[in-house]
Amino acid sequence: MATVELESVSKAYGSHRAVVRDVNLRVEDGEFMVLLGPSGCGKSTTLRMIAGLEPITEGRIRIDGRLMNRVPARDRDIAMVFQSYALYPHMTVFDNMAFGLRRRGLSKSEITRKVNSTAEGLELSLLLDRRPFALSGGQRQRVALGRAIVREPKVFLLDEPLSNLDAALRATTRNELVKLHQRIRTTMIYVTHDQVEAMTMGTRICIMSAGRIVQIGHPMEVYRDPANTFVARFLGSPAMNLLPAGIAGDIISIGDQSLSRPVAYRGIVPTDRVILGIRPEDITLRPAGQGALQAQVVTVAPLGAETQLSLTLAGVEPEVIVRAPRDTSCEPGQTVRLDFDASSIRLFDATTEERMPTVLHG
Amino acid sequence: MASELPLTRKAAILPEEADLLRPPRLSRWFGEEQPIGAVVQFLLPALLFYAVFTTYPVVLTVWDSIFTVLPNRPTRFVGLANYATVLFQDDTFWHAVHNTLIWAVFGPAMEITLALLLALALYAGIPGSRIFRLLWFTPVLMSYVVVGVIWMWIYNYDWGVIDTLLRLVGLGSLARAWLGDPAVALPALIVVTTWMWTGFNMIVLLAAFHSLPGEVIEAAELDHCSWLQKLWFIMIPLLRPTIVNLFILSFVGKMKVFDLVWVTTRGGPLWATETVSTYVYKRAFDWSTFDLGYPSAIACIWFVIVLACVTVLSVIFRQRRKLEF
Amino acid sequence: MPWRRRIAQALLAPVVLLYTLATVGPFVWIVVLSLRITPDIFRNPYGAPVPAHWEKYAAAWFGSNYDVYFFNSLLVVGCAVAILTVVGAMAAHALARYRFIGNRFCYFLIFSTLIFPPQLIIIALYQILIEYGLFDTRIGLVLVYVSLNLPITVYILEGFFRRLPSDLYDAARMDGYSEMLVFWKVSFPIAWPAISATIILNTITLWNEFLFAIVLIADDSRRTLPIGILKFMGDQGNDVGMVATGLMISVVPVLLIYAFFSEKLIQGITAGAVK
Repeated sequence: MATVELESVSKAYGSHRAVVRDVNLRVEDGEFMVLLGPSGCGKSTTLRMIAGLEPITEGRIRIDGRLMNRVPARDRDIAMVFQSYALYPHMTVFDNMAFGLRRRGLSKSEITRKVNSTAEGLELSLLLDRRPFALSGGQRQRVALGRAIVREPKVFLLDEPLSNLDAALRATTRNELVKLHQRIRTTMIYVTHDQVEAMTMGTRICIMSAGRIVQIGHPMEVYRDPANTFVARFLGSPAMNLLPAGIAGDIISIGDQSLSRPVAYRGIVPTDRVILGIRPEDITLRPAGQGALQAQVVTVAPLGAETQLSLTLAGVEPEVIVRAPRDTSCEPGQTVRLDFDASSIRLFDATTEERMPTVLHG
Repeated sequence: MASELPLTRKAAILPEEADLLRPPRLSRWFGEEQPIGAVVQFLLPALLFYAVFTTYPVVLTVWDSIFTVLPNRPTRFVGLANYATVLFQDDTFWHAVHNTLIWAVFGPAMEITLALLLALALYAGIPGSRIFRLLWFTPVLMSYVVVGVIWMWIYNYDWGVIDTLLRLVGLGSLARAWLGDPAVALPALIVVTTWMWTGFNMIVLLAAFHSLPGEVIEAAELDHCSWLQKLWFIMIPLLRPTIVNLFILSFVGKMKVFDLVWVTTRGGPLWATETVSTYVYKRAFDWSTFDLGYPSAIACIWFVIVLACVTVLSVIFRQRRKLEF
Repeated sequence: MPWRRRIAQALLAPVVLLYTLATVGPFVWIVVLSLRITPDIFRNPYGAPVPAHWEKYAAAWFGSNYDVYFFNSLLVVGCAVAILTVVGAMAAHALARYRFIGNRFCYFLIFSTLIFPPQLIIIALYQILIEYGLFDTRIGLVLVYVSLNLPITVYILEGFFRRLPSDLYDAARMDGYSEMLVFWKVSFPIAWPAISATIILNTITLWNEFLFAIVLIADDSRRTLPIGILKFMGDQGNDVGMVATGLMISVVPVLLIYAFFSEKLIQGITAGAVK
């Protein structure tokens, strides 16, 4: 069992620079938890605290129920893959991978066997005698991975391991990591700023901003029901459309137009300031005469698999992005009719930017 | 959300865990939980050496300086009498200071000028620069004893290189016993240290030349700067920090010089090459005075002088504004 | 403009050649002198070494105690450099990679001794060594030599250690290594270029060290090479031939080291001094 629990964990440098604030997180055994957030949100620091590389200012960290606050990194039975790989430049690939095992008192033959079998799984067998400077970026990345895998730790920590790879390699390595996780089923905690990685790899995502956890949940949960506008904007590309709107009676008014209020938001007090969120893929173009809303086309971007349109609604400041089928033919300046998918509309409080309660979810 | 810990629950702290939460006593001192034990292990040997073989002697020297320290007799407290004697009555001391300062100013000046020329020569593309670099560095590696003996033979009146050459070209009247003539002994020794150290300075300057930003020099060429203008107005100012460092390094080195003098002239003839270090040595170990307090006072005064000179030099030559390029 | 360059080269070439002659000339002369016997030298100071008296080297080595001096130098310098390398590297590692109060203070303390004139400590060291029974011992000299060169060693290595990426240390910690082992298995090997430069530098400067050796060693059987040569000069100053041979014996090890390691040495020195 390798659960990781963070209770009210905080980290501050000096008395004023709080980098991580009151983080509460529980990673279940065998989960692939992704810590996602923009640069500087504290995700790497949190990871390093779990690793034991940073001291904890406040709070408790437990691994398998055992308190880890004062336990040094080397005794935590955790392996980490660094963004810069941190391969030992003066050692061969074999030695890089064997380094961690040598401290365990394993016999030489045992170590050789383990390193060889891990290397085989990562297609590194032919590179075992090389030094890091003689390897390509992708090969180095695999060595860094192999170094962690061969130790068979309780928990894997990965700190943006793909960010130094080119796009094509990144995609294939992503898949490899997912397959690896399915095979060895060890708890993995993965830090990234790339929401595509988070969505495709994580069993759960934990989104952080300014040192705090904003939302935790399964990728599709978080995608469909973002806790606030920050999460709404962060996930999904192109981002969710966020439009100023107002509620009165059964109507939501957007600019000069109105929609009927979705059933789920029945319980909200009427107000003339809310934020309406709708994802580009949840807006459909309708033929003339149909559709609840009218908009004017600003730009048309045929992307091959789809066409992205940028539209303006009367009286609404931000442009609305729509993902339309690829055979859509529109001209800039043209007027079109739209429908928003009622079940996909999300409302956020205009002041707090938090999502508003629905009768279904509470 | 079901997967988050409810915020209101505070986990009970098991008794055996309480220990693990208390921050170690010294962590405040050491800041951010550095592994104190390891740091001490790393640093202690060096600090011990420093304490025993540097701090302790310095303190002892200062202590000695206010006593008369004689063997087999109790030391006698004399207060600042030693200092007074050194500063106001000891002509030899001031003569030695004078010699040393001349050495410390002209030596580096000559070394660096010559080194600049040579570095320029190599930088301007004279072929075989790697070999020259190798050869010119060799004097630096020699012990002063070896250098001293060699140059004593070079300066020899009867069969030394210099006088033989002079007689060969008909300037025999200029020949003299270079190290035996009070008027030229000191300059002769300064030539020796210049010979020794120019190579070192040259190598550092050459490396500095190569690390100059290419764009600035190219811009100067585009501005139709002549070679000399480029050198004087652009390259040397850019090299200034390196030159200043080298000067100070050489300056301090000359202020300490002992070996060369001891092997060649021992401070003679007639105090012409007496330096502070030879004087201190003689006072402490050579002459029958046996008093260690007096030379200790000299050493302290000398340290203050050296420190003052270095500070003055640093201040004078310090870059006002950092050069941005 | 190439022709300007040609002029510059033409003007500087004589300077270069003259200086090279001045630098190399004396060495060549000494090599020649070391192979000639003194009466021949006085007859013709600049003659060729024909016949070349190689047996003089053996005579100097065995007959004039040079073997004793050489061995002492080897022992003292070898021990001192070994201790220096370990102690200096550990101190530099601690100062460069750990933040703690007094870090900069320690660094400044160690670094500031570079300005100290040796007179400041030589008299007191003389007294101290006598008092603790280390006077006229090679151990005493070794310890003094270590403390003499510690500042420059720490200075050079601290700069180098500082530039190593922290991730490397974190990775080693996660791999289960204690701080001391991280130093030996990661820091030290990776810093080998800088460390070898300091080894060479220390070896050469301490091999040639004179002042402390002459003050702190009295008995002839414990003298190091530089002092041995001086004594030899004093005893047989006019035997120019033999003195030259003695000089060569002292110089050859240094030249050998230089021949093999010149690039490393020069790189190490320039890295620190160029600002």
